[in-house]
Amino acid sequence: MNALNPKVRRSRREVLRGLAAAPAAASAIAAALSVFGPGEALAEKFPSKRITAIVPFGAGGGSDTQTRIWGETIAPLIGQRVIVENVPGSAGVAGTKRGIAADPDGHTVVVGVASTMTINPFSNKAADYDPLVDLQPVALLGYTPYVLVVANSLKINTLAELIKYGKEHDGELTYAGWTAVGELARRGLELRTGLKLRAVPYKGTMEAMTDVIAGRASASVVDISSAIPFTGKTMGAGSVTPIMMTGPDKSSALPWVQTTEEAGVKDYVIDSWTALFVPKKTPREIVEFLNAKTRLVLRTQTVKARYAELEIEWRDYDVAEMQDFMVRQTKGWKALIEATGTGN
Amino acid sequence: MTSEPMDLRSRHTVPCYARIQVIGGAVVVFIAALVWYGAISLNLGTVADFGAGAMPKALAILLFFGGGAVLVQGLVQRPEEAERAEFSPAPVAILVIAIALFGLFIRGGDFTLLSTPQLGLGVVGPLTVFIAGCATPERRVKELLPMSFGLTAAVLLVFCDLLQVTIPIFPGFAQDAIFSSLGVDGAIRALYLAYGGIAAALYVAFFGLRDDRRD
Amino acid sequence: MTDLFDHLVLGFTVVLSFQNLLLCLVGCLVGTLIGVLPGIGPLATIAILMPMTYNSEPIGALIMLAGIYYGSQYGGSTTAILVNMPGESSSVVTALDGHAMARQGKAGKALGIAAIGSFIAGTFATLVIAALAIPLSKLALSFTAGNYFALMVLGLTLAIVVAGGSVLKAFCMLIVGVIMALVGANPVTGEPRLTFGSQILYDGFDVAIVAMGLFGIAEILRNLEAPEGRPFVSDAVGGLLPDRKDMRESAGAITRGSLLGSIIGIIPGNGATLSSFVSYALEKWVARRPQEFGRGAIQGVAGPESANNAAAQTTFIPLLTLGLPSTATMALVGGAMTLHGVIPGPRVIDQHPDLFWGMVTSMWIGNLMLVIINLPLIGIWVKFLKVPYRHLFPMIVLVCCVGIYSVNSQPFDVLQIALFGVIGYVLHKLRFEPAPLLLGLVLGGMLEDSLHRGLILSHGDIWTFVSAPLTLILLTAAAVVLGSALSPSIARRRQLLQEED
Repeated sequence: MNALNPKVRRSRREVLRGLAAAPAAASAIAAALSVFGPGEALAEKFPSKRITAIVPFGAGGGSDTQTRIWGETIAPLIGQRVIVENVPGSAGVAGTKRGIAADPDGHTVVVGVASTMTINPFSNKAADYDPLVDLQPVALLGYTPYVLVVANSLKINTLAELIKYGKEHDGELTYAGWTAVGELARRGLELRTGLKLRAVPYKGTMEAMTDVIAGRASASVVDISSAIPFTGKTMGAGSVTPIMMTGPDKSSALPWVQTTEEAGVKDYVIDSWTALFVPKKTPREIVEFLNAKTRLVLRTQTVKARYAELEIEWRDYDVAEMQDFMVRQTKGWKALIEATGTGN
Repeated sequence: MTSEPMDLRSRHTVPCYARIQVIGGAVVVFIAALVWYGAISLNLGTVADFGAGAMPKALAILLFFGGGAVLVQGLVQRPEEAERAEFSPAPVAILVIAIALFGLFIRGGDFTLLSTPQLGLGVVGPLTVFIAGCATPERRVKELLPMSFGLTAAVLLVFCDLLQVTIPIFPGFAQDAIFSSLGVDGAIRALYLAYGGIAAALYVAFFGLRDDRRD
Repeated sequence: MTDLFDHLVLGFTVVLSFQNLLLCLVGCLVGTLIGVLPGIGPLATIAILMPMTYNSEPIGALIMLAGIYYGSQYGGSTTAILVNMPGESSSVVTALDGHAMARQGKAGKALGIAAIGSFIAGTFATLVIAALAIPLSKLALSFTAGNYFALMVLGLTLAIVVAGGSVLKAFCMLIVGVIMALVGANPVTGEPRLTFGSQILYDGFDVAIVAMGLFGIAEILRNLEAPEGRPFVSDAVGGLLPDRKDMRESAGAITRGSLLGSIIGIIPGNGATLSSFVSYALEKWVARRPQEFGRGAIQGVAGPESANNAAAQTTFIPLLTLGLPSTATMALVGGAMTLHGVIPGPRVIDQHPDLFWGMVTSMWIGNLMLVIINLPLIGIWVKFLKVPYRHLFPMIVLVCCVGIYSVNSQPFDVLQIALFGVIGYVLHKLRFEPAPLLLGLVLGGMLEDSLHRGLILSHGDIWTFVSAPLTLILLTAAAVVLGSALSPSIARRRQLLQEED
């Protein structure tokens, strides 16, 4: 599990304790990095104590897993333990607010996902914060595209066929949804394609997929890591049919599936990501330092292999690119929320 | 919550308002009314797609009749069958204070009615044990004092040092100064060693070194 | 049958090594030790101990995880029996008779039969998984909204049977529990419901917190005012561990519990809790002296403990084969598995058959370790009850506060256990049983969900919704259960009326 030196078996405390105890390889990489990395002078002072990563959801979820992989692999590199603190509540609002209120010294990072950072502020009254103003994005941990899937029993392979089917069988198409993102995906789809999809509420992804597989629900928009076990990696191999990526990019796992552009859908992007944030006032050098170290560990083969298993994509953004990414994301979701009238 | 002193004299003629069934039924009916009130603004929807209000309203009605039946049972009970509801408020209040103190001050925060500072486990722990310990009539202050520190030391050792659970330990205002001078682990260890020492010292001071006071 | 054999052999070859057994032993021991702390249920235990597994190879980590899982489950049952503080909803039923036994000086027997029953049930459930995991996962897929709804209705009616005392009052508690399950924001629209404008209620009620308050803290409050009724064990009555007679009395209960648990655990949903209630109801039904239930009947411990352990085991089927976690604890275990590269879902069985069957066999080893560790520990647990209560209860309060806080880092969670402690105390005084409330809270959300979904999918046609054969069978069973629960009280009422005339 030790990303940088898997052969060395040590107790967790030893591995996670200060640089002195960290594996030699890790310090070697750290030294190598300091030659070209920013925050060279800071490497001595920061981090001066353990880093707490606030995950605004309960333990065991997708963003929690990514954070734990990150914390585990970065700890020997920065010479401090990373402690994951799960602060669930109010759809992620409670933990995010706690992250915003933390000391801006880089020792507390808060994990943000599309829903807590770019959807809640527009649709949830309790989320009285503006991530672009209150938080500084640090680095991307993972990026997950979404895909529109339909039941095999419908014998549909493209969006055009789905629209045609919808017109011929008025009121029959149903949509399995479970989160705010899912509902936005449904309303956005209705708005941009003229489809009519009756919303059927589910408790979670798997319950929903179960009914799409059995043909009890017609369609759903699912994150690709939950979808691939059911779609298979070749055309026609799965227990559900993927018909469109809900964004402009092709998926390497599902290369035959159309993108929104190819399917002729405009202004419709549904995706998800996990990223690290710190309070806005955090010194720039610390932000750069965390960004550089994070990118370094995420480029390692160990993490790449783990991400490949989990079907998580990653994009190598520096701090400025991360900021741009956030601005783009915020604009896109805000437009969709306003267009579908899901805000308040 | 009503409180009646232990009163065995009137066991056989329990007035209506003090009967278990009557109070219980009334409480349930009250809850039903509350739920209904909370659900007024929620829409019912249709059978094919019922709204957020459908279940709460339906259940409130069921609950109303259930509670009403309990209430009526209590009212028509034969007086000698009725039981009197008796509560002892003192231990309840003390224990609630002990737990509430922990909740309010462990990390502090805004609890709508009051804002509290973070005092951390180091301060809140001994207080919670001490106050909780006062809830029993058999309390002995001389035992409670060493226990408060000893238990807190044990919890700090197990949870904060060995298991690395994230719990605030020091008061918010002093936290940074303490951590920067001793380091996080050093500070935790210093605290539980100190508390352990205090507990041992208090124990020796109060009870001497005798080892025969097992009860 | 050759399948079963092949699967088990594959699993054992992966798992059996001295190092792995040691990891499992350590996991089980630490899981028990942390899980036994009052206020720290299996969910908190696993969350706290998860980092312990980080440093092992995937298979070692998984087998350690299995040890922690079963250790924490059993630790939770231990606190339920000793201090009436169930760590999660599946040990609520254990607390009913288990704690009653502890009060009679039979804590050791209750703990012993729980461990033995769990082991037998665990072994049986492992065989079930090994033989039938693949076909059973297809069964789980075929469950419709209507089936779920009917199952929830049946589960809820059983709660009325489980509770002692007035059927009417149990019914009221059940409804209150279901209503509590509805509190909170709609996960899709974010629209709050029954929160009365409070942000605190946005996420609804946490079953573990409500259970600890209603049972554990309320128990302390009751003990504080009635010194004579405390779980003092001056001398263990009739030997520390279960004797031949106890085993004979529990054999049937364990067998039935294992069967029930194995079946109910397969169905996605809170199988462990549901199966413990069902088993208790069944045992009370078949018992020669049903009036002993609630007053320390050993079958009332053996049955539900076997059932919830078997269910805890077969619950891995929907998790491993479909990626469907049925409880928060299972979701966490799934998360931990993901962290070690076993991503629960339909592909794991094809891609990593070694890990899959290794996981299954490590569950059985986890169960074995549980017995090995816990039978000797029982003597120590029982000694805890000899600590004067004035020393014991402040410790419970502190550890409980720390444990609750450590799960979500939310101070309000701590305030809630005080609140529910008082509510539990008042309910006790008013002769309301809290167990049905808890089952209502556990199953209420799914009840509404499946009803809503079923009616949408059937276009509001109620007949289409209920007419599926399995739905009808389950609903009929619910009606029969309700009828039989009502009949004695109706009969008694008639008798009373006749006497009055």
